[in-house]
Amino acid sequence: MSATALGNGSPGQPTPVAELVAGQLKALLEAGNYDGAKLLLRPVQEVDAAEAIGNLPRTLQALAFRLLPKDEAIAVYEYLPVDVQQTLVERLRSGEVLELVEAMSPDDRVRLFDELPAKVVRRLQAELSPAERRVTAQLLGYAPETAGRLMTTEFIDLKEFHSVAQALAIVRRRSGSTETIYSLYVTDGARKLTGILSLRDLVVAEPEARIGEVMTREVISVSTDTDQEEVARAIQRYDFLAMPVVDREQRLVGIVTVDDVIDVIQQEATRDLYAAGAVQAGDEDDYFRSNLFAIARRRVVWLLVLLVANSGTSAVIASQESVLERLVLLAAFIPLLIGTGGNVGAQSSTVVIRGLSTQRIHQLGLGKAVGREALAGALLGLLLALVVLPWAWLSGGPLVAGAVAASLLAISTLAATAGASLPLLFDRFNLDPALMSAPFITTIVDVAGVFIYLQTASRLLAGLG
Amino acid sequence: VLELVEAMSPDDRVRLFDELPAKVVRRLQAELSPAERRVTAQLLGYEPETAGRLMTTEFIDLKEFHSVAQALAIVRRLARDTETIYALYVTDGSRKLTGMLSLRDLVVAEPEARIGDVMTREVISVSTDTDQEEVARAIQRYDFLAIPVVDREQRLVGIVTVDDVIDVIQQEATRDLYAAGAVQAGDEDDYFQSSLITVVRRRVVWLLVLVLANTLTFAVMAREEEILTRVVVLAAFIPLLIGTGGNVGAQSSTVVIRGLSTQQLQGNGRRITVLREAAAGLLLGLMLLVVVVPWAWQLGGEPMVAWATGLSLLAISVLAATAGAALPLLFARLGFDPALMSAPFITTVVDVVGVFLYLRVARLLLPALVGGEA
Repeated sequence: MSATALGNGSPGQPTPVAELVAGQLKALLEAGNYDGAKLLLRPVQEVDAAEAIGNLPRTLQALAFRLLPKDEAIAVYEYLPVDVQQTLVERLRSGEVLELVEAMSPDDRVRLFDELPAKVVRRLQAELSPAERRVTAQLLGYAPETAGRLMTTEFIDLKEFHSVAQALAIVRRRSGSTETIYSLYVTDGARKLTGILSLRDLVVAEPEARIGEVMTREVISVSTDTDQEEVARAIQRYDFLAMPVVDREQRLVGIVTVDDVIDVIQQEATRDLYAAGAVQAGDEDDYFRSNLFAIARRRVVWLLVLLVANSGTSAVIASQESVLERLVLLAAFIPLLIGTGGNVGAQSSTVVIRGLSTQRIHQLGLGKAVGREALAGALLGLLLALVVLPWAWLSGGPLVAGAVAASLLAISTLAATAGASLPLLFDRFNLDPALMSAPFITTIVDVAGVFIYLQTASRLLAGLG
Repeated sequence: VLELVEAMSPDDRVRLFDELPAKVVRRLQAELSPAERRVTAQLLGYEPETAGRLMTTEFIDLKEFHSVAQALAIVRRLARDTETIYALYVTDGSRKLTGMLSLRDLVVAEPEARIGDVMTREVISVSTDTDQEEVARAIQRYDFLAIPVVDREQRLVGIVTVDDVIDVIQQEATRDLYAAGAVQAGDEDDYFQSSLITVVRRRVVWLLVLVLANTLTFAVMAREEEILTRVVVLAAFIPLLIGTGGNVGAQSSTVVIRGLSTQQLQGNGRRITVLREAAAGLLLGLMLLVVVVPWAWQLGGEPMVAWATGLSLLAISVLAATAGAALPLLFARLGFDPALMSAPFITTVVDVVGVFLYLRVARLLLPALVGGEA
C-alpha cells in the first residue's frame, strides 16, 4: 500500500509526488527502461502523472504518454496543460490522436480545440464520430466563459415513470461514460427538466417506487448563456455537486460539475487580484508560462494609462511652483500625503470590489456602503492627521503642519469615497468594477491630493503674507 | 435550539460554537447527546484553519472483508446521517486507512466481490494539522469530492468535503485581496457586517505602518532640500516617479504572490522569476523613459531635469520589479505569509528608494545646469 499523506512535507515543496515522479521518469526513459517507467506510473494519480509528463523534455513527452494504459491515458491527457496537449497532437500518430480526442469529455475537448490551430481542429472535427462531432460543434457555439462552454453534455437523465430499480440499472449501465452519477436529472418527453434527485436519494428509496415520487421538483438551473462566475456562485451557495444547464426552451442540455467550478473560482480570484495589481489578465492565466514580451505587453498598457494620469500631478505641481518656491519644505510632504491617500483609497476599493464579487456588499446596501466608507475615511484621516501633526510642526512649523494635517483629512475622506463609489459606478454601467481597483484610485487621488494640498498651503501662506 | 444544534453536522456545529459566547457554548455542549458532545470537543481541540477543524467525523468506513452487497446495505443504512456517501473509506482493525472507493465503484461492482478487491489502495490523505489552504489545493488538484483526514497514527478520523473547500478557497482569495489592498483580514471575512469602529481598526494599523515608512521619504527629501530649492521644478516629477515605480512593483508582487498561492510558481521557477521580473522591469522602464523624457522636457523646460526623470524612472522600474518579486519570495522562504509583502508595502519601499535615487541622479546631472549660478 502506498498511501500518500500530504502536508507532512516542508512548506517549500508543494507537490512532492509529481516532482519525484518526474525525475525518476526522465531517468528511466533516458536509460530506455520502458517497463520500469510503466511500473512507476501505475500507482500514480492521474493529475500527478500529467504534471510529471508535462515537466519532461518535449522529446520524451509522447514516449512517456504511450506507456500509460489506455483507459488512464485519456484522464491524464485531460489534465495536461494545453501546450503539452498540443505537442502531443503533433507528435502522436494521427490514429492515436483521434482515439484520444474521441474519448475526451466534450468540455475538455472544446477547451483543447480553442487552443489548437484552426486547420488541425477542422481535420479532427471531420474525423470524429457523428455524435461527438455534433456535441463539440454545439459547445463551440456558446460564448466563452458561459455555462454552455463550461458544461459537459454527458449526464444521466431519467424519466418520471421509471422505477427506482430501473433507474439504478440505468445508472449502472451508463456510469462508465458520464462525468458524474451522483446528480441525476429527470426530463419529460420534450427533454424539459422536471426534477432532480441524487444517487443518495436513489440508493435509500424503495426499489418499486416511481422516480416521479422520490425526485425533487424544485430545481435550480442555469441557462447556457449564464456567466461562469454566476454558475460558480450558485453552486457554492447551494452546496451542489453539479448544476443543470437548460436552453431557452427549458430543455436540459448539460451539467456543470463542482470540480470545474472550483477552477472558475480560482481563475476569477486571479483576475481580480491581477486587476488590483494593474496587470492585465490574459485568456490563459498562466503568467509564468508566457514569455518576457508577452509579460511586458500585459503590463505596459496599464502603466502608460497610469503614467498619463500621473502626469496630471506633475502639471498641478508645476502650476503651483510659486508656492513651492516660497516654502520648498512643502514638497517633502507630498509623497507622504499621496501615499497615504492612495492607501486609504486602495483599502476602500478593495473591500468594495471583493464585496461585489462575493455579493456580500448587498447585505449592507450600496448607498450605505459608500456612506460608511466616507465616514471611515474621515475617521482614519483624523487619526493619521493627529499622528502627523506634531511631527510636521517640528520639522516645518505651524503653517506646514496645518496644511499637511488639513489636507490629510480631506484626502482620506476623498480617497475612501472615491474608492468605494467608483467601482460601484462602473458596476452600474455594466463595466468590470475591477477596472476601478487600487492603482487607478491611487492615481486619481494623487492628482486631487496634490491639488488640495498646494491650494491649502497657498491659502494659508496668503493669509500669513 | 438544542434540537437544531444536535442535528447539525459536527463541523458546522464547531463553526457555530466558535462564534457564540463561551457561556452559551458550555450550556449547549452540556445538553448535547454524549456522542455528539465527544465529537464536538474533539474538533474544537484542533487548531483553527486546519483539516481537523474543517473535517466532519460523519463518514462511512467499510472493511476489506465486506462484500459489495454488504457495503451497499451499510451505505443505505447510514445514508441519512453522513455528509457524503459518495466517497467511502476502508479501514483495518486498528482503524488505519487502507483504501478508498467511490459509490460509483460500488454501484458498478459485482455484488459478491470483496471490498478489498474493488477498492483503490493508493489513497491521498491529509493529516489533522494540515493547513486548510493545502487541503483545498489537494481537493482541487485531484478533483475529489472529499479527502480523508488521518491522525498521527494514520488512523482515519474524518473527511473534508468539497463544499467546505470552496468556502476556504473564497476565504483565502479574500484574504489575499485584502492584503493587496492593505486591509487586515479578520477572523470572519464579513467586512460589511462589522461596525464602523471595527472597520477603522482593521485599516488603521496598516496605514500607520505605511505612514511611518513614508516619513523616510520625507527625511530623504528634507536632506536634499538644497537641490530642490535651486530647481523647484524637480519636485513636480516626484509623484509621477514614485507612482509609476509603485505600480511596477505592485504588478510584480501581485503575480508572484498569486503564483505562490496557486502553486504555479514553485521550485527552480522562483529564481528564474526574479530575474525575469527584473528583465521585465528594465524593458518597461525603457518604454516609459521614451514617453516621459520628451514630455518632461516640454513641461519643465530643462533638458537635464527631463533626463534625470527618465533615467531615474528606468532605475526605479528595475528596482521595483526586482523587489516586488524578491520580497514575497523571501517572506515565503522565511515562513511568513508572502501576502504581507504585497502592493502597499512594496509601493512604500519603492517610494523611499525612488526619491533617493531621483534626487541623487539630479544632483549628478545638474551641476551642468546650476553650477554657474552656485
